[in-house]
Amino acid sequence: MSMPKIFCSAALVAIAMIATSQAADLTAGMKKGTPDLKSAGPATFAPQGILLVGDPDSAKIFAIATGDKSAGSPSQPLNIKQIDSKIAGLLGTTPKEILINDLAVNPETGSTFLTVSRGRGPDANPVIIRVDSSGELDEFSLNGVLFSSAPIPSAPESDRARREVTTDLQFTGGKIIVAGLSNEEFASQLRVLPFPFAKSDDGTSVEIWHAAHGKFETRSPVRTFAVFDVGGQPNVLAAYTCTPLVRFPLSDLKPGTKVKGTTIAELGNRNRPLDMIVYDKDGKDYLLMANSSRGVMKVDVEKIDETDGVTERVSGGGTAGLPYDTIEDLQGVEQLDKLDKNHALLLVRNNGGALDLKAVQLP
Amino acid sequence: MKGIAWNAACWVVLALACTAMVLGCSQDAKPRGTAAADGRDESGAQDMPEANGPSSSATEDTADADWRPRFEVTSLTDQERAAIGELDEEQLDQLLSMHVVDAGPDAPSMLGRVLFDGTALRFEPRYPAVPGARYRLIFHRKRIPGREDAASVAQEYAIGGGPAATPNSLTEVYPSSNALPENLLKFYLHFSGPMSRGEAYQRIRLLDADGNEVADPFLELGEELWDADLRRFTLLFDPGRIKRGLKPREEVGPVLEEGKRYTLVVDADWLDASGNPLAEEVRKSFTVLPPDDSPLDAESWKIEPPGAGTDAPLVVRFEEPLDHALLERVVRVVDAAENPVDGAIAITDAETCWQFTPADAWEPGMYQLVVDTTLEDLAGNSIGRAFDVDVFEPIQKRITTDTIAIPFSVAP
Repeated sequence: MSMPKIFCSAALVAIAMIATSQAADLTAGMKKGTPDLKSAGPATFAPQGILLVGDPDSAKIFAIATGDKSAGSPSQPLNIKQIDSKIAGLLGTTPKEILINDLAVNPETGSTFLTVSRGRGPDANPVIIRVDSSGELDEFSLNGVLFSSAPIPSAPESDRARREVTTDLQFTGGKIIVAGLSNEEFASQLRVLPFPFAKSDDGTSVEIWHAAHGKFETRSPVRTFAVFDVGGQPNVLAAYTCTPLVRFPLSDLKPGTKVKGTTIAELGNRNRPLDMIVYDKDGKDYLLMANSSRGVMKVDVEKIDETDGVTERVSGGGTAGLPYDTIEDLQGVEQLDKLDKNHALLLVRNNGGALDLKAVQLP
Repeated sequence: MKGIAWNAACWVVLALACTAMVLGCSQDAKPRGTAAADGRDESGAQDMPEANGPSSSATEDTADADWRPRFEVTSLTDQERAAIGELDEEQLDQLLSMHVVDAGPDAPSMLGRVLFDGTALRFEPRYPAVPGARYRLIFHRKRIPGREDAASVAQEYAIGGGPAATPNSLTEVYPSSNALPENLLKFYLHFSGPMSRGEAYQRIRLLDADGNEVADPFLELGEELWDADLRRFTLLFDPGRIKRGLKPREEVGPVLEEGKRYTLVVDADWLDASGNPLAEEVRKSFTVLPPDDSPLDAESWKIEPPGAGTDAPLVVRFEEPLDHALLERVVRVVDAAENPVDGAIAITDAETCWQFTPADAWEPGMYQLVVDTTLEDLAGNSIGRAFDVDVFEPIQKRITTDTIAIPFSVAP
């Protein structure tokens, strides 16, 4: 039995970068101009400083070459209180008109990019804010950037009623994986797009299912996920909207297949996963997951490949499956990403209702 | 046009507060980076009005498509104008800074650019001013060469909320029936106008028969499930408490329980896209039926064909209410050559009846009712597939196609 080795998506990005940096320029094929972003939703980084942004309103994924360069190591951990107010000040509006949709850290520079809505109505401006390693905020201008885009396969083009909301996206091994949820039928599609985008390949769409205790099968939309390596094979570690935490091999995501995740932890009531990262500390691998009401969960995934799935009902609170700790002092975490080897970056709703951006030591 | 109407009103408020003066609008200047600026004036700016301080204006200029309010400094001496005229773009940007008062003193200054036309200085924001906001313009006069001893001055502006708009209403709630299955999957909330994102789950409550709030009944997604116009909101029940065999349901049971009565409450203080509350609170009370775990069976549908030469509707009746949004999108009529027939859809009788009125009178012949198998009932069961499949029960019929077609004829 091989010991599992887990890499966070940032590490995968770094590995992919090393492997491809000599050969592939990921900006090849991009055009210079202003991407017509209608909304700025979930975001993540591909190698070479390319920011991937989900745009649910135009049903596209945009790839934007940020040209982001290393800003050096911060003199102290990032801690920006009321960042929503600061963004509001920068964009000339009131804090209540600012929605921060996601954060993504460029693993090559430590710069943080926030996808923001300026306004809450249908005419809201999508804005990308860059926070450098010293905590300075500025708008990342989309004018004259190198970019490319691809439609989300099967997404509606002209129907204004049906929309597919992108809940998360990740880059790994030349692919962008997109999780989404329809506002009509209860669909559970996970889409896989090649990157750089290829005109001849608009990706594949796989239906994700869950089998509770091997008895009840249901379609299971993915709320958030991370990609990591188990036994030398890349796996998707996903949290369903109905709360189970599952994994399935990336290689299972083939056209026309029905993927059933292996349950590795079953979360109790009120555990609603919001965001997750995986990381290693002191030679062990962990999952750090923000959820709506129970602080941040640190799940020990060292024995993930020994977990054949949760098959028995477990009474009482907590989870069944992999062991976990709750980091009680990390309350209100809505978004997180890995900042560097030792830190996570958190977007936290504080007691006053405002949002703070702060770096914390990985637990 | 709505935006223009608001800005016109906003304009009036500004004009009352400020000395009006109109300048031209340069289109080629670049936004100014403001990362280094903060909301505090290092020289201790004095508030306006001041005899020699900035005056500003906001007046209608039809050449400016955005109708952005303008923040200007007009009270400059000839000597100052001459000195300013010698400054480059970067130096100009240092003369004015604009701040959002409500963003607090630690917020950076607003993105924008400073323009000078030989007579007045103007701050042009990167993004237009918003109703209800207060702004503070600081004129750093001491940064004009030769005026190093001058004090900085500041002016605050309150942007009006615009004309009183007709408040939005919650016009429809689907399913419209007042008897709903225990495993009800979702509600659709239809509004009379565009709403705002970001507060939906704070404005919706589910009460039990005693008026107590049911804890955590819904799936709360930060992204929120809106249509493109933000006029229809999809409210999903927590699937972890609908699906059988999952821990949340095992711990606290289903959200809705058969035989009990509940009330969905939509608060009036849910804000629309303009920041105004709804016209009134809306309550929908309903009783709970047994769970529905059966897939849709199209063979049970009753089709009432129209007569040829008429524009009477084709009527399709179902044995149970179906999903309102999907009935509008995934059911259609094609002719014998499988060309789509143009017409209008009506959904009636508490979503148990689908009617199709053709744009032109029916021609005699064969037609087909084509339905995507994604069509769902109120519990998420679709054609040939239950929402929650018990894998140990024998499957009577498996539907593997994307659509089904039901033929009907229009007799001469």
